[in-house]
Amino acid sequence: MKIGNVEVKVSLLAIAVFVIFTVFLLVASVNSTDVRSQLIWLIPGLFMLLVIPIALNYMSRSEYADITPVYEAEAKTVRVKLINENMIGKPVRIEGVVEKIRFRFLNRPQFIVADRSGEISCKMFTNPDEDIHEHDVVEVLGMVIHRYVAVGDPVINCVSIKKIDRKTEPAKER
Amino acid sequence: MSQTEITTKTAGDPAALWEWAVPVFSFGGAAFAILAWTSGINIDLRFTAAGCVIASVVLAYLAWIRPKKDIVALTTPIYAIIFFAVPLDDAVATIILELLYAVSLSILLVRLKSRFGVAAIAHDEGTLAGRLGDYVEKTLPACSTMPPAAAHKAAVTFMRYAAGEYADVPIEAREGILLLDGSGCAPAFSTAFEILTEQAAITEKSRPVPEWYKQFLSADEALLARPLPPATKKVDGYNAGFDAALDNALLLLYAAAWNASAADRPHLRTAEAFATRVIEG
Repeated sequence: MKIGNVEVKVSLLAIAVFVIFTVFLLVASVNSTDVRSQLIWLIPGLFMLLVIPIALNYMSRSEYADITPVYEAEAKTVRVKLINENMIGKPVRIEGVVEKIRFRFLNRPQFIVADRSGEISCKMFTNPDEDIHEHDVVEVLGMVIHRYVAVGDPVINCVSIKKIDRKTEPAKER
Repeated sequence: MSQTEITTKTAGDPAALWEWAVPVFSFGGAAFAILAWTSGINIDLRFTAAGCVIASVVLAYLAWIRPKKDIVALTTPIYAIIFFAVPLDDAVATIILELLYAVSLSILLVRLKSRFGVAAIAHDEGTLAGRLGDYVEKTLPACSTMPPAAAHKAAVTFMRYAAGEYADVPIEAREGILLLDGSGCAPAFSTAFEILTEQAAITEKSRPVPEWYKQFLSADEALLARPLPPATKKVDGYNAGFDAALDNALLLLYAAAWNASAADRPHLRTAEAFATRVIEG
């Protein structure tokens, strides 16, 4: 679904919740006259289960679209091994291969990206523009953060992840 | 006493006893509850559940002292309090809950040990662990003639690079080169400053790897952490020599700063994990 220039995607979890509550509502309204009398607010409430995730997704994606050019201008290309705790808060660019993708169904994907020097988690708080799969060669833009707000190993708060045209592993790793 | 010997003496796993405390307290509490119940002793089972709470706190501590944090283990004390603060009406249910909780904590302990590495080891103030410590010790004689001001510049240059402040690195490194001039130090130290100057400028501007770049000479190899790779590109254009030059330069400056500028050691300690990662890479 596209709102303005923003491609909005609803997570599988949100759709599953909507479907489950729709079934509950149908069953309950067939069996109970009390429920049927409340449909005037139950049905809008049901649709809010879809509308709210769509609105949140639209807001986060439009925000990411706005800040991506800033990161493209300011991020320095580094090797994964060089990312460390002293770089917390710094914008970085890495190039590597996607080794694993977690939590995609929550629209909060976590990409494990590796280059020749090591691997790092790239956390994204919305879905990326492109469909990224394992073994894709990608360029990641983001900020170095702690894994758990103030503690944990350094990870990348990913602002943008896109496939790059490389047949093998990235050639220029610095 | 060598640095390696000191490290070995202090490197006994301090967490080993704490690891035993997790099953001992959790299962111990449950066993005490079973004994009390079968003996007909009427006690508040929250006292026996305290074993699970203590075991959770110990597990959270073990997760906290690891460089890689396990959020599940860290939050177990919260769950322990939620589960056991309000007693269940049925003693059997409470005992089963304690046993299941103890099993869960043991599984989480195994998971913590297998997936989240070992606990960070506390060192003596003047020592470094592992390969980094061995390398720093190896370079100690070569650092004996290094002026403290140059060693301080090595520390600042290293820390600036580690922090990703690439624009500042060439400024600090050039000052380091000037301070080394006429000191009688091995030329490898000046080369390390030059390599960082060049590579920080390339990274700052996000420029591609140049065809020709500053490298260590084969005469410097005795002071380097890594052997010099052959200067040939791979098929995809990757040049291992460029990355190896940077790694060697970073490590040589770290070693010089550690050995010849004791005042900078607290700062260098904050980047020890980074230097360890570079040397073990």
